[in-house]
Amino acid sequence: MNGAEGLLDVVRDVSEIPFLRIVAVLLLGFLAARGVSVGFARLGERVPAAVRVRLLQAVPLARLAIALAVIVYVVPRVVAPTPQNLIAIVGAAGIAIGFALKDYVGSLVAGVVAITEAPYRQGDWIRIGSHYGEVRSVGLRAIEVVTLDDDVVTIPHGVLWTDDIANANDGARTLMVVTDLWLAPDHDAGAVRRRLQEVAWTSPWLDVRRPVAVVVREDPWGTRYQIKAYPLEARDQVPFRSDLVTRGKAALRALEVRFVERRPSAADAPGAPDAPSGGAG
Amino acid sequence: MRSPWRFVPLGARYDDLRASERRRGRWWSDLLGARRPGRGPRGDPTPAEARLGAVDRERLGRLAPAPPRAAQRAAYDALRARTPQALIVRPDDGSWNVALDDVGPYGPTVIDPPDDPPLGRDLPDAVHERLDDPRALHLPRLERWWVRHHDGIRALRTVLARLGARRGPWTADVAPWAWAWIVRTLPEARGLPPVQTPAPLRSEDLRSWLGPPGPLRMRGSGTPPDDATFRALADRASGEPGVARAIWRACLHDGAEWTPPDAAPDAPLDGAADPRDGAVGDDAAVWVRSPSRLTLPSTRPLKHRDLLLLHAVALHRDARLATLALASGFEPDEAAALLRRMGAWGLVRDGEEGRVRLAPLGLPAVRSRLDVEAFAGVDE
Repeated sequence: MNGAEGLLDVVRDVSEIPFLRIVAVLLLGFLAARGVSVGFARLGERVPAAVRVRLLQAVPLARLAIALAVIVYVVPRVVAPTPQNLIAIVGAAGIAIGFALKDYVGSLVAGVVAITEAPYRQGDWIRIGSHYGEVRSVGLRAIEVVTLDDDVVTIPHGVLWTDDIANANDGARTLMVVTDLWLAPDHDAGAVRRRLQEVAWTSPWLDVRRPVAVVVREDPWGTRYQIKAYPLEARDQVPFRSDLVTRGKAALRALEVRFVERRPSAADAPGAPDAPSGGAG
Repeated sequence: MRSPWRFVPLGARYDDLRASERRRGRWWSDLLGARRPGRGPRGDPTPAEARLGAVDRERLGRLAPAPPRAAQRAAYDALRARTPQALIVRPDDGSWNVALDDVGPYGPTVIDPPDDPPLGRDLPDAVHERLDDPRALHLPRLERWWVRHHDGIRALRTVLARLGARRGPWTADVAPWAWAWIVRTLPEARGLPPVQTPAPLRSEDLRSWLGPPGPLRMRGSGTPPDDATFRALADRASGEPGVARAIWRACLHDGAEWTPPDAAPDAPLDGAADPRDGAVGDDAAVWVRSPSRLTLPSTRPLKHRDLLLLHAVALHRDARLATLALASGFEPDEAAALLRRMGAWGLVRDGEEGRVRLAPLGLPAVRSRLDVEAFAGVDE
């Protein structure tokens, strides 16, 4: 028996296949998956951040469950395999996957792994390569990330095998924001540190239930102060950092401390990440 | 019998409340849909709400009296007797304002706060000298000594440090949200004694305080307010006297009555007057709507950023626009416009001298919304 005949033997007789019902189920599955994505996203915008994060994490699992339900319904109604024919089909499919669909199937498998192991979830803020942003959706093949510049970047799950993934909040409502200020070395570091701590404490965006730290270190071009603190929710990281920088500079000017310009480095080359390590920059 | 008007440690203030009374406002009922005014059951003799009027001020003053000053004064004296140094978290609902603002006649020397927070300045020398006085001191409204801005906390830090180091007797009070911020950020808070706060009122306490001097007809049943009414009141107010009083006042309606159209025209209901005759009811005809049916203000129209201003109002209780704008990061015009909208929604109200404070009826919604949106409160 050749492969083509084996394929035809696997498929049921046309008169036995309920085409209309299959199309209806496929359409229903598509609408259900879409409804889950859109509905949960809209509901998530109306509820507090802590609830939104949990809600959005359920979306990929729900979509996967819907996809599996559709497959379980449709496949037995189209395919009636015998053991011998299945072996032939699997062999043919293996060749096709190996040559043409390797990356696609790899991403699909990685997608299932991503949903179960959760290196990232919907609502997480992640960095993959040069892209940093909020995970807007977790599909079966790829994720969509919205960057701080409002770009939507589609990243295949396959990066799970090859790249590092930095997750800033890992399912939590908020994340640490690291704000850098560089000053000329000749100043009272203790006074500056206390002042920056007051600047952080008095930010309206601060989650006071989390710790605030001001870390000092000497860099070749000046003294680097890092304010490490948490905003009320992850989406507040931009106005939070802006508030810290604006009021931090105003407070330090009153202390008559000089700022320095950062010397150009490899990190400033085009295409380099615009946010350094941690959850923000 | 223990007076309900007393001070308890802040961490133990809910110990005597029932679970339903202890429950704070649920954010989901506020955000996803406010309660709708209820309708009475079939055959309900209660006039439709549209036919009921407001109770006049005189009767309202008798039916919803202010907290008893004598009892509150006794509570303050008892606190000073057992705790020579005490920091009091004064509730937002205004129920203890008169008692704690005017303690001078009780004995302590009062150090009044400034009208506006000292920006960029430390404590005046005159205040330092008064803090050196070994006699009993009282510092009301510590939240007036600061504004949440890096240039606005120096004076407050000095006051807290001086109180922590002081040997003589003293009392001070502070707004709840301000204390929640202070205790989590300022190291000077660690030197202060354990915090006290007025005990919340249970349903029995509310009944003895607000229970009517005479019979009042209650919506839907025609009987005087019963235990269930005051349990509902305590649940919605979470034991806060000022909130409970505001809810109670909102539940009272003038008792002009009418005969249902299907009743005999010459058989008035329970001897009630026909409002078409222009008669006005007396105390016995004040209708009381169940507190569980009252629609309270909601924070639903507020967006995430708006909460920064609302939190600033809670932090600085009774602050002026300039202070609120500085504390929230809003421009003054923008803050003024948003405050007007919040006032229209019943969340804030104007105080004296251009100050803004939280409205008692809006407190349950404000508290639950700020709690769930990660603004630290004293309940954690």
